[in-house]
Amino acid sequence: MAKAVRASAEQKLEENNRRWGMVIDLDRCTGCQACVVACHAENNVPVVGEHEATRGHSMHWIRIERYWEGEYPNVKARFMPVLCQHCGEAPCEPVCPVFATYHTPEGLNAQVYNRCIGTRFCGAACPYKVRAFNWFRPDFPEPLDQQLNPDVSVRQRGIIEKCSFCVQRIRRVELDAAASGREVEDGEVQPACVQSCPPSALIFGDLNDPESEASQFSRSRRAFRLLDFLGTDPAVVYLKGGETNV
Amino acid sequence: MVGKEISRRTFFKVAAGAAAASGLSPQVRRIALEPFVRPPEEELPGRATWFASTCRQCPAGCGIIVRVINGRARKIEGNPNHPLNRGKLCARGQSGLQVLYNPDRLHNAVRQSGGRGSRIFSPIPWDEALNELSATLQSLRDPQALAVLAGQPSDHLYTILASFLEGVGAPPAVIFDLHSALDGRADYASMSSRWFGERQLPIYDLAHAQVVFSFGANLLETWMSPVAQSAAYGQMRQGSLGGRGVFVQFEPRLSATGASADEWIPIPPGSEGIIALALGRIIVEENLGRAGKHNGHAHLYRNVSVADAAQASGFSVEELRRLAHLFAEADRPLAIPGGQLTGHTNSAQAMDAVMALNVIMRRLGRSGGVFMPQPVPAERFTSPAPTSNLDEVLDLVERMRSGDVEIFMFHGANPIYELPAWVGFKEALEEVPLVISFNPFVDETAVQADLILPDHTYLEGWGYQVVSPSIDRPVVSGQQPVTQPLHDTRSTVDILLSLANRLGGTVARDLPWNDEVGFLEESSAQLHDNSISIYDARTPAGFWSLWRQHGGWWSKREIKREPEAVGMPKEAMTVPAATFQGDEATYPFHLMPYSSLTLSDGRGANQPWLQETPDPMTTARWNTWIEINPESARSLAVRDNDMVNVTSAFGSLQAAVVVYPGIRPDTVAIPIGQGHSDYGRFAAMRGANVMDLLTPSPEDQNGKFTFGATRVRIEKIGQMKPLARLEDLDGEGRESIR
Amino acid sequence: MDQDRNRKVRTLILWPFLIIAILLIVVVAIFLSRQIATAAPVQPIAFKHKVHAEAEVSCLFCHPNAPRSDIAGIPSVARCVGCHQTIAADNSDVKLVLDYWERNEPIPWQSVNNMPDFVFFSHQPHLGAGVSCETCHGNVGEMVVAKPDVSMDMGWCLDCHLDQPMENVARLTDCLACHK
Repeated sequence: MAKAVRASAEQKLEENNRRWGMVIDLDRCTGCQACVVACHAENNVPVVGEHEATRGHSMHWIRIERYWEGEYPNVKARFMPVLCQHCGEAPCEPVCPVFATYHTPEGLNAQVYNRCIGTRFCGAACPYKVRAFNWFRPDFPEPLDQQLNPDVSVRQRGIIEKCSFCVQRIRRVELDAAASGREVEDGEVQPACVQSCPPSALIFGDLNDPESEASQFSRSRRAFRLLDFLGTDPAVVYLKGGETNV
Repeated sequence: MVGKEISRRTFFKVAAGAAAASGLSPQVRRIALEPFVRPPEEELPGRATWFASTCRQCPAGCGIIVRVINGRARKIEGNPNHPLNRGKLCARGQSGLQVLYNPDRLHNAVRQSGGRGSRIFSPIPWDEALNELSATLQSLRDPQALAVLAGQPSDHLYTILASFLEGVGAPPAVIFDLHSALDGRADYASMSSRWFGERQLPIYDLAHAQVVFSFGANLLETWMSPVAQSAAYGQMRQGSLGGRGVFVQFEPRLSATGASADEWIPIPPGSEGIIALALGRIIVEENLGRAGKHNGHAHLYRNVSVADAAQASGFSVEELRRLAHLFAEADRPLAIPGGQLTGHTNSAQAMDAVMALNVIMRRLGRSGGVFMPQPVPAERFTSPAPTSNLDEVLDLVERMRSGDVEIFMFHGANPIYELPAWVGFKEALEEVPLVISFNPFVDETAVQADLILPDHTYLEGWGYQVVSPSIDRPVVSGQQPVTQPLHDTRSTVDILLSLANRLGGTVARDLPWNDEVGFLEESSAQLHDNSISIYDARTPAGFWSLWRQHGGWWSKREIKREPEAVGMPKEAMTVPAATFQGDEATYPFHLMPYSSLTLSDGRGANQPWLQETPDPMTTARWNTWIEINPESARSLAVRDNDMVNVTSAFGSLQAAVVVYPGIRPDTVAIPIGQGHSDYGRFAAMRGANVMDLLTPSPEDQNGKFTFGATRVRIEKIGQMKPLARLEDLDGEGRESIR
Repeated sequence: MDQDRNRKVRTLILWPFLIIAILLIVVVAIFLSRQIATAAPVQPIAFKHKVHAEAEVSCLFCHPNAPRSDIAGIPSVARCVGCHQTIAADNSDVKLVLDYWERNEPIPWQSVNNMPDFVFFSHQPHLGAGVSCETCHGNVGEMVVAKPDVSMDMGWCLDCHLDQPMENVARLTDCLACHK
């Protein structure tokens, strides 16, 4: 299904009609935290230190929640990676007084850092609690600042930040594809967490493309979405653990 | 959509002007221009160049590619072509840039001018340092008085070091690091030697196994090759057509690996072997499974009483039978003896008992079973660095204590921190006149050195690593600098080669290379023209170039080798009961020190990303804690975040309580990794070092590292210390994310 | 009576005065910030684009990465020396260049066109769409001292981009196209 070659400026928005989404296979997730560290490294997410972490101010854009079930000796623990769900009906978008957060044409819930004035209404509105606030100026003691990713802002105090599905990688792939006159392939965009995950529990792709891997997995009978009943229409689909697809 | 009514352009014009005037600028980082004298040919400004190398955060040897922009390394990813990890990378691998760019690295060679332990360092020029080292070596009356300890050396360093020491007539290096010890690498090599006649680590084909019984192997966290194992686990679960593998974890404490298991069997510490024997007995007795007749193996289990095993383990005979059926009736069962098991006094017999299960079910060389690595077809790469037993370490300590060691050098090891305090490494060092460290950081052992000649960190260095445990084909992982060395550090291999040159004689002849790169290029040439190589080149120089681009060498196709059970026991197997130090009345709890997923054996403590990454099971960070069963916690009248004194027959420490549902009531667990006194601002003065609690046992003197054999008692102090947990504890025992 | 008078003073004199003063400050601030934004930074060597443009040296000869990358790039000392080893080698400014070459030291050029950290800009799609260098950088070929032709704020970018049809990506309705 080859599409016509077009320079990026003339690329029509509705031709894309993409909805970026992620599928998280809970049967594969081992809670190893590789995604957590990969995200910190890719997105210049600051480390807050022990004191602030104890106060609940840590800034992880993706976290692994661990749930205990049962009592000893019949106890189980389950892992669930939680990140911004990029909701289709995001509760965080209408509450921002300065419109720093909005929905992009490709389905991302975006945060424009330099517009944010730090009211934290969005953080309060988010039912998944995935938005992190920079309570203090982030500190990168030299030469740790040499590692910072130039494709991502370094946020300062007073700004809310959260997972962006590595929009810098999406943007880069789309630009390169347009420059080469080809389409973006399924699987070409890999956010840092998806790329690093050793058991391949994370799959990223276009949920509006029925042929994409993410789309196919999202139709699994194991699929569910978090807090679905709230009507947020998340773009992250979880696959229940403990069962086969067969 | 307010933006459409108000013209955005006007709004922002005003805003920009006002912002500039008020001096408020919403950016923390400024862009700087960096012109070149001569531009690097392969680079586009603003675009990255990717360099292939090897991760060295643990002994596994995963391939990495590093994104370098303008000479600065920005991101590490797994090398998608590398057969071991195929583009994936674990948390510690991702954190590697904080080793390279760590603010507490040494910037040059230093002398601890204020005396050992003073932490007053003066930089010395490299020439002076090397002259001094060379002169001291030459003036040694007896070359046996030179002792070297290396921790997880890369294979190329090991080869050079071994030749050097042999050439000068010194005893071979002691190779010890706590991570490898917790993996049980030395025990594994011995077991392999017993069963299969070679000291190579066996390969478990986890991806194609149908039922996996893991006895204390935290294979999804830090054990052996976690990235490859996790990838295989993912496949075992959801990758194979027609079914999802079953995973059963036998351990006293539910680890993160156990959390991913379908069943957790909370066995008493040290009972792994007894249970494995009982399972084997049931399989043979009831002739279970479709693997063939078990008559030939009956003798192995002649002395096993299932009833006794049931009693000793606290499980019913029915339960043991159920497990035996589950294992034997699978088409592709697999039993894995793990690292925790090697910390007990009966580890050798226990490992044998677990491996025997694979043998009687005929899993050797079969899909989903046990394989041996195919050797790399070149002489330089056939013998990976061995791991020493504890008795070799104790030997070294004894020699130091009696004044037989005049020069002690160490690389990549931090024995004062990593070894139990009872070993007395620090005290022994006091008897050594000259102590030299090659570590890039001032850690607990380096702080007792006279001279520190810092090596490059792994992203700035060269090398190769024969991957062990291997994967489905022979692999040599290559390491190359991704950036210029940040500081005035020097490769230890280059130092050794230069010393060899100066010393002359045998050692100069044995080590003729001018520098490390020359040695590596020559080594790579041994694989040039090999028919199974993934790439081909017309000249050795071209081959060396492709070696670096690919990140090493590997075979283009799978080569799996069937192990031969040459060492099948002829007699009945027995596993003695594990013994523990400290009487049960005074010290009612088994202590389980475990390798931290993030900090590993303590080496990750200087990386803030790893410190802030939550432990998967407790979500706690930045400190040490003790995990106690809820019932035991109630009987001790302790709750979450209470500080307690943890005392063994040897020592004591304080830690905050985590009430942990997934642990036996008679066992407590403490993660390894904190309690540093040095090692940089992120590591120092934080938490406690659980190795200080370990009580020596008679088996330790025989080379067993019985890190699981200590008993402790717990006492409430009456203070609280809120741990930096990701989850919130609202007092009801419920958890919610803050 | 006095109170009324005071109130009158406040209403008729004080408040208008304050409002006008604040407006004046804002206007001056905007004006000043534009001055700052379009000021020419001081360069280590008085490089004249005009001279080189008259010598028919194309923009892309020294800034070759503009069609291929985000950043157009600053020429290395090697690029300058390529010609100037022989051409105009007796010129005092050129001698400074050759000195840097001898010392193997990069010339510390000061950046003329800067974006703040939170802006993503890539030259490649612009050159790919046929936008010429002068469109944004002004008539650099006539400049004796390189300076930003215009303060490159978001409004200025939108001046052009809003000419794109609504359904094109280049209309930039997606903030994340440029905000990192």
